[in-house]
Amino acid sequence: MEFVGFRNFEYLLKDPLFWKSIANTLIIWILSTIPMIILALVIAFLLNSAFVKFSGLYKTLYFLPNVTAIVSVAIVFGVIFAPNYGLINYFVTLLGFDAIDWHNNSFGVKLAISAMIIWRWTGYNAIIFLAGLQKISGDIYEAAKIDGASSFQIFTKITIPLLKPVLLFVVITSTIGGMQTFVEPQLLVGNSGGAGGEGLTIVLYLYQQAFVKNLYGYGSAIAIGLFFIIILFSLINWKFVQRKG
Amino acid sequence: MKKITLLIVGVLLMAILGACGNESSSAKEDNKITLWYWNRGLDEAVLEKVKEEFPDVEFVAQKLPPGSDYKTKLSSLLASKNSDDAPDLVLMNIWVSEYLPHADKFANLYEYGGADLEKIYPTWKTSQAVTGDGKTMIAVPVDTAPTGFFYREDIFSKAGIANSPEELSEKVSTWDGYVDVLTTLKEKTGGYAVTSIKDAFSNYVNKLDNRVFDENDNFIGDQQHIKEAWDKVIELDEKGLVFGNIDELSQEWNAALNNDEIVGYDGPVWAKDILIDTTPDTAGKWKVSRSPINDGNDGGSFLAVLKSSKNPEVSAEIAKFINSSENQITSYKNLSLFPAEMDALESDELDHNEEFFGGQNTTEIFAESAKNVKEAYRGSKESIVFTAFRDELDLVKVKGKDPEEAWLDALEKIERDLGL
Repeated sequence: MEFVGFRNFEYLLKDPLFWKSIANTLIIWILSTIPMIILALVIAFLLNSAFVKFSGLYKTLYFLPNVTAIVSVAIVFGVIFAPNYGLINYFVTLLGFDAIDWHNNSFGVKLAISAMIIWRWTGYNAIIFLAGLQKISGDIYEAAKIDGASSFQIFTKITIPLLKPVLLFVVITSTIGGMQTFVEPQLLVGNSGGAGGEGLTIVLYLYQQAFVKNLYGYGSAIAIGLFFIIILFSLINWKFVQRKG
Repeated sequence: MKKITLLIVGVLLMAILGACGNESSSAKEDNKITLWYWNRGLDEAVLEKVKEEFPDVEFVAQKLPPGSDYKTKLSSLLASKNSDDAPDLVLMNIWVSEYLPHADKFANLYEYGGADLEKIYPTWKTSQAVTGDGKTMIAVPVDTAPTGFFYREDIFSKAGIANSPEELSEKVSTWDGYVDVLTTLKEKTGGYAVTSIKDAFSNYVNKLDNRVFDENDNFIGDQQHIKEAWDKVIELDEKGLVFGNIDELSQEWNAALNNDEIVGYDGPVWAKDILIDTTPDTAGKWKVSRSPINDGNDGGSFLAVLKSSKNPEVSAEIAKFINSSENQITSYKNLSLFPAEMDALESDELDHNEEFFGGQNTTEIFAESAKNVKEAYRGSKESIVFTAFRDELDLVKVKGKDPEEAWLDALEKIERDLGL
């Protein structure tokens, strides 16, 4: 172990793979977070409405993916998204299209990883949204109905604005979680992140450098880089919160 | 009043918690020996025997998750200040060489009769755990992983390639013969025996007597012998003899085996059990011949004693006991852990006809292979080199990258990483 000053950081800023891993992480984060929040909202809204029976059972079912062991989740998804013998490609080829290479195609890898994240976190966030929905007083809805508002108007003009604090909470936690995506890509495409590193996220890159190649110094430099990225995102989130106040 | 009660409760709590800390450290027994191993890494029947053999030792075997998690945990342990609950003995895999720079964290087994051990194990195996200067031995061999060529006998004989393992061994003993066999196989049956360029490359290097570093840890991976390996596996791909870009032993690989698309596999002895587990429908149709070109080594584990151990001598004795020839034979029968010890290899007890392999006694093949594996220095930075080579070979296969360009890019990356 020798002292090398800022050499690792110099390498880091010039390292195309590091920038690529940042881009990958952001793309996966966008691909997974936006559909997840919309889905979670819809589910929460349905669970909150009067016409759904057995809502307790549904809550449990939606929460289950979140407590399932991530390794087994990845194995099942690995089978679904397998390029040569996967379930999805079986149907794709049945419909007469070309099979999609889920492990090496730039967009395919990210889609598969995002699918895993969505599956795992939608139910969890739906439960949080549901708690927010149940806090909104019935009087407001009643008043809106009497004034002749449609269901859609009630949703956009009352539910969404009053849910804003909960929505912010979900966005912030999903952001922090999204920046740390690691297990899903590792189990789907291995430590290299697939051909050309298309599924390489920041934390997976860190892991590869530190624990596969034993380059602990460089791995630590990546960790510091990640720290600054998370600070940046937290600041942006904080700005949003401030404006609301 | 309330405040005083709180204060008293607080003080009491602190006293109790404080006592906890003291108690656990004073109760630390001096005759406790802890071993870390991973699932299927050591035979549990043998670990039970340790308790009988060393009655005055409290022997605790901790099973940890296998694979990269284990290595991560071990690295973290060595990097941290030695805690009281650090193990005395740790099982290590073929990556033992990566820990040679940290030889000071391990007991030097030369001080505990290591020189005698060198006489009973093959040199190519013991040398993997000895520092470049030859002064420190950080671990003793548990099992070796000689390779053989697993193949679907029914398909190979239908294609007219070979009717017996001996015949096939003869045919694949040269590179050109191997290419001919693969070509006939593909033309006549549509089957493959090579699943990805990168695995073909790794397997090829596993057969060489020179790898990517010389004994002074200078990088030699840019030299002729590695370039030749690179060019040869590229040639396989250009002739259309590489199935795809599938990692060996992955889910996709299992599926391809079951679909008769992969009908041959140049792999280590411990893959026997994996084949038996993943392809039950093809039982009886497999046979094993000698590996193509040369015998190789793929894996094989070691036992090491940590420097922090309070009882290094007893720990070393336990390590030797676990690896005694009798126990190695038991481990082979139970888990296909191929004995490292040369005497154990000569034992008739290893021989048995295996139903899955059409009644063949595969031990003969692997024992012969183990005698012929070439000694090759690994060095501690191999993972950097192979990561770069394999990543570039990925690109060649999947994105159609020019092989020459990929070779140069890999070297550039290695140079950069080795300088970090």
